[in-house]
Amino acid sequence: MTNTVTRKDFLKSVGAAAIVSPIVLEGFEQGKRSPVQHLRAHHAVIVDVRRCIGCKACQVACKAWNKLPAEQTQISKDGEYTNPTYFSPITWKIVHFKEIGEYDPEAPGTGGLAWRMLSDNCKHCLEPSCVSVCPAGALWQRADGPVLYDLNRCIGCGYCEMACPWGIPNFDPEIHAIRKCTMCYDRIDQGLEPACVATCPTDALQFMSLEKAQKKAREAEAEGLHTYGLSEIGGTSWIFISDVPFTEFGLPEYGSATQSGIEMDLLAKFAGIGIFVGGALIAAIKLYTERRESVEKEEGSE
Amino acid sequence: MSSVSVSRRNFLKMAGMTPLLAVSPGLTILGEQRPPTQVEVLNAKRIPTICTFCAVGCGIIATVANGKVIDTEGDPYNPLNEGTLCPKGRGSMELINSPRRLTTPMVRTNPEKGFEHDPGWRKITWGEAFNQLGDWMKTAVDTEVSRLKTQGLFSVKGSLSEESYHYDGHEFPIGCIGSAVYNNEEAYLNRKLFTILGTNNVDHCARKCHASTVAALANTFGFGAMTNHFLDMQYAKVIIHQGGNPASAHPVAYRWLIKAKDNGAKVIVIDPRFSRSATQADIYARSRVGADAAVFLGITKYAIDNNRHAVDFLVESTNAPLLLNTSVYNHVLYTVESTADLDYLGNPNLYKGVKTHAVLTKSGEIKAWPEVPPENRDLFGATTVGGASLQTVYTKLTSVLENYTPEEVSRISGMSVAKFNEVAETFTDPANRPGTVTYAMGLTQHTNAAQLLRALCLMQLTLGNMGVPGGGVNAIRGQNNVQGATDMLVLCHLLPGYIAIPGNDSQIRAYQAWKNAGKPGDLSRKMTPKVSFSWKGVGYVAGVEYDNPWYMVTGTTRTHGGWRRYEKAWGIFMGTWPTNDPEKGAAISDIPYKRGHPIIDADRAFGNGKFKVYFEIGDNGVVTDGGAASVYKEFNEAPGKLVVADIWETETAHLADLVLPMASVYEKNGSVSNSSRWVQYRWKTSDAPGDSKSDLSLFMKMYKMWRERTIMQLPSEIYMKDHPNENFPVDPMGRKCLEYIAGDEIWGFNGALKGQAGRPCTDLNWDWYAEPDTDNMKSSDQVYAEMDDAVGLYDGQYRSGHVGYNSAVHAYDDGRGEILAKRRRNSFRDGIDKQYSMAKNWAWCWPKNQRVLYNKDDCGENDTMNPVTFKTIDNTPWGAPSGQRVDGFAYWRQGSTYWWGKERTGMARIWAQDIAGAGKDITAAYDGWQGDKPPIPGATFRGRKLQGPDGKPVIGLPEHFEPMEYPNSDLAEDYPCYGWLYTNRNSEYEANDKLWENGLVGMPEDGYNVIWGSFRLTEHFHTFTRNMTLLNETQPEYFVEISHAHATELGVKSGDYIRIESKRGWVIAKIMASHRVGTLNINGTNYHELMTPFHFGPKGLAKGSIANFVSIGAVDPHAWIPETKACMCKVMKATDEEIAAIQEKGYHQGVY
Repeated sequence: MTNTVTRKDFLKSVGAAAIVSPIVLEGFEQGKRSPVQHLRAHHAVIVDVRRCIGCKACQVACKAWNKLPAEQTQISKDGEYTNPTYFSPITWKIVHFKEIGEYDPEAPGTGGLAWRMLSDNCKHCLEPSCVSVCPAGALWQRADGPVLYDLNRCIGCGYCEMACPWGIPNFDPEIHAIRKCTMCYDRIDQGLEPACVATCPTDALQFMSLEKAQKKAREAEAEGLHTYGLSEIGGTSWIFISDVPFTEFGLPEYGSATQSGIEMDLLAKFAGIGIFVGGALIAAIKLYTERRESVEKEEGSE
Repeated sequence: MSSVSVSRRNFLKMAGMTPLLAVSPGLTILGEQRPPTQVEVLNAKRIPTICTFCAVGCGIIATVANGKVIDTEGDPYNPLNEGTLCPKGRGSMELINSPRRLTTPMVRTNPEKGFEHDPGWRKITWGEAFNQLGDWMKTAVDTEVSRLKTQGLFSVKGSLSEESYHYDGHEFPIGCIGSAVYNNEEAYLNRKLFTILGTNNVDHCARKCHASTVAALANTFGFGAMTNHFLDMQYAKVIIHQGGNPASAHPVAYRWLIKAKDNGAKVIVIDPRFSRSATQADIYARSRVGADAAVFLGITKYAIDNNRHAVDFLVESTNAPLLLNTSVYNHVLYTVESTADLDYLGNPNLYKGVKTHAVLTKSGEIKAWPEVPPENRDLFGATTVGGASLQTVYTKLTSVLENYTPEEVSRISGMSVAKFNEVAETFTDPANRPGTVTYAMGLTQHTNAAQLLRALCLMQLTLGNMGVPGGGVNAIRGQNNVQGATDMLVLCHLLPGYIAIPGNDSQIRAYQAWKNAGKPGDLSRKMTPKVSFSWKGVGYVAGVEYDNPWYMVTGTTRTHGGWRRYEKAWGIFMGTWPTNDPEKGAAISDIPYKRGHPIIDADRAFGNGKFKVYFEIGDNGVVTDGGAASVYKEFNEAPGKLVVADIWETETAHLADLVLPMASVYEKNGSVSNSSRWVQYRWKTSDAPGDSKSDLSLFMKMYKMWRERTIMQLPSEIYMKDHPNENFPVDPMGRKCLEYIAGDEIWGFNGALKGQAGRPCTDLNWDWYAEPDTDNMKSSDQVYAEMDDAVGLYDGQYRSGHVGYNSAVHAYDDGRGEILAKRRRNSFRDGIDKQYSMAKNWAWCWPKNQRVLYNKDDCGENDTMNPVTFKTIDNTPWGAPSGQRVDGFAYWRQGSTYWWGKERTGMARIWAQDIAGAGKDITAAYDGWQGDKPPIPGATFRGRKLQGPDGKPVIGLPEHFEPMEYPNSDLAEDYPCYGWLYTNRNSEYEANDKLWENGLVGMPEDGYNVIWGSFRLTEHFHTFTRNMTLLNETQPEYFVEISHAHATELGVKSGDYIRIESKRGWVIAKIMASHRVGTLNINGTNYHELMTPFHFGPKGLAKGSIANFVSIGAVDPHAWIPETKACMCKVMKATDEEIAAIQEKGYHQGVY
């Protein structure tokens, strides 16, 4: 596969998908409805593994909307359709395929075999450790949920990569900054669902308020289903529901504790690197603490 | 999961309405701060179009800035997809904007063909391309005309009645494989253009996808189309996916299937491979490819044995209770309840002496069925009455079913008995009604496909699942407009609207007599001749009313009615000269006689030099045809010229002599019919790249060139030239013609547009869109309107009251002079429309906007319909001519404007008819089996299990037949391959037994013992997405799926290479080992199965070996569909040289 267009060219065309004047056709009455302002609500997405048919429309929609170029890939060696297999600066969304069990022709139901797909991306933590470790203040969490970043302020230190429990932010050497899923904040701002959610044919991805999503997840838990993101690392804006354990997809098991533990690990790991780094970490911790305090305050006020 | 969609949809709609704000450069407070945008977006437009990939027909909104498509998203208004899209549709803008699109015509300079050789393309202009094409065609056609002259056609003779002017549509030296990515207008023009050129050698990929569906469903129900629609699937209570994988191949269809699941439906997946659809399954049953008939017959038997069949439905709506006239056809089940309906197949002998639709009552009386109340119907128990044996269609069916016990089904299919019982129990459970079956290529691409699909139809009829919302036989079609291209018959055996091709002079003479009789409508048994004439020794006087003798013996709808439409809409002539003497005049037909070559045979005919020029328009035969290894050889060695028109340089284009760059569907205006017959409209989004042209433009320009260079000469024109002294009528334009009827008030529909009632000539018709252009919506709209006239099936999509039928029936969804495909109202029409999500205000669908076939889902505005029984209060369906009444099922016959009541439904009449239609040839073929010359040495092929009481198979009801390459010889002795019946066909290229003679069939004894099957991925579409990088990323290369056990046996693991070989060819492929494929126990022996996607080939960005180099070119005897889904192969570890070769080239394959 030859990606003749460079990443920078792609970046240049970012924003092209903005739309000004819809064509006036029957059924397209212009101006009868006004844009929806969602900025007040905390947005969340439910990812229901049971409904996913693994079509990868979300993957393609992500790249199409964000103008991310394709990667050179190969079929995976584990007998699955997962591709690409790793998050990268230009791959923000991956559908993990996982075959579970073996087929017994005599057994009822699906014969003991299941095949599940998990549409994975940045989970937009409620208390994002990437934000808290960023020494440059390039990452932040917007009040309505998306964890965002500023390409110009990013110094490329890579702490967020290490701090993220899921390895989501990825350093892009070409633009010397990290990149990751933005929850399609630009679409949300214009009253649209994130690109992956909007295209999902089976509603395996559903866009809703955080409260609603958490309620839904709790109900699912009560039904004996597995959830992920309700409490993990203090909770995330993307909440997953599944009938198989999430470890099947390689998602690590985390407690509900927030990331202070990881932060301390990081500090220990990098203590000797240098004053700058140390200072940055201290700054990060400071930011993090402030952030946590503010979150606590908000929670207290609810 | 209750009502997510509603709020979701509203949300999306709002979004769709909202002019989006530009993401301005320099906004630092939000998100990913990005460098300044380089694209001017101020003039961005949103243009609705329809996806070019599968046949769900999803709406796409293209965002267009400065003439360039910058994004393609789901159309939130389109009720089919509600804003969602699969990855292919979502990535469509890559297809539009790809730098790899063809932009100029190219001619080959290197005579050496083959994938290994560079064709040495020379870029030329369209003018040069047309000159080159004209030179090639001129020689070929002139040779053909002189050949016909030496045969005595096209020549003046002693008496007029000896003269015949027509082309032989089968022998004509030009072939054309069209495409299912045409818009309807283009498909129609394709068939029209080549028909009046004189050839029926026109075919397209419907031949390789659902030809068998059309054969089986049309002959069972009436229409060869998906019976229900996508939105309707949400009302099913139980769903079988067999031989189809909608979650993968039609992901947006799964939107509706998962809604059914939300509503509690059970999903059963019967498939050799644990597919993406199986992720949603409640029951998954692994079953062998090609064994499906046994499963369906087994389920039918299970239903009857457990008293779960729908008795009332069978009695009232099918011909199950019909008595058989065994003295006429004792092994063939032809029967109808009344002689009124026999125009469908046109064979009078079938109906001789058939008794009427009757029911055996409990007291042993035989009565006409309407008189017998349901509780008194006893037809299913008794086989004798008063000592005399009684044979009904039903008893015949049960006698066939006796064989298909769960054990036998298990022996054939490899499904365990327990699993089969679980499937049958769930699907036949009366609590789970209605049940639907969705299928695709897994059922259709077999030598016994038409048979096994009839088994499916019978199963659904037996369970009463037909004609109800949530039920049906849902044949999900593959290409975005394969339904439309099929309806327009870009196929060799019929004409647009499923009209018959004339076969001989006497049909033309009968037709002239029919015209002379005042062109009666199909509904009339009476005729009043306009002209005095005699026919078959009987004189007919103008103005006198007679019974219409031709009504009984010929298919007036499928022949005369249809031909009359063409004559008038196309400005051609069929009939005799002089016109008032059908018996003694010269027979002249501008429509060529005889069906042409279906796709596989056409490839062979081209390879053998029969076709001098062979068009492949939007077809990639060398990758997609069954037995592609042979096709590759034929294309390389053919002495004729291969002309490929496509958007990419495909594998087939690489072998072409001339390549023409075409516009994609997103770059033109036109209508498109989705799988469930919805005719939606595509608006052009952007200009086609470079010099690419639309197909509409190509056909128009070809027409002009052919006329200018006298490549196209109509037989009627040659006749007039040969007879300069005859006194021909003159039309208002001052031209001689063979027929001009002034003031023909019934048929003068398009003459009126030009201000001249009567006869438009051929050229005049093409003048309407003389200078077509890709973005000229007017020209495509004119063709749309012409289709409404010329194609009975699409009558109603545009105007009213134009053709010779009662215009009063065009009361609803018609008569507005409006292109109904353009309708974008997604409000519901009324409560029923809403309750059953029929979306009847959205676009249009045939027939007559009826969304669920065989159900009266629409009725007069003043007539209320019961939503459960679908009966109206006074039982009068919408649109029935006065006096016609039906009870429940209403049925609109193709070419007709008539609702057929219960006693006239296709189901009631045709159920027992065999797909062989007239039955003669197939009976003869079976008789051939009784001789001492079995087609295959060493095998009897009598079919031990298939012999009826008289030693012949029971024809008329389907049975299981083995694929041409079968795993188990013992089983094949019981159920021989149906494909061998093809030996009786008359074309030199068509015979399946050529495969045997040429040593192309592998036997299990020779070590071909791995079951090979092919499938489709979600991430690629056929062979034309491999230049789309976002899709390539998700499925980058060719692979095959084998089981872990098989991999261990071979000593390989995922990512290693294996060699797969059949008698035809071999490929090297990477493997993916999983538990999703496994082993099957067939007749006591275990066989490995191997499943392979077929998308890949040596061209494009994502390369791979051509999977079909292994498959077989055997075809179904009825539908001529190749057996691309089942064959046998050998598998071994690839050698180091082979691995090195594939790693270097990206593909490695070969022909034996």
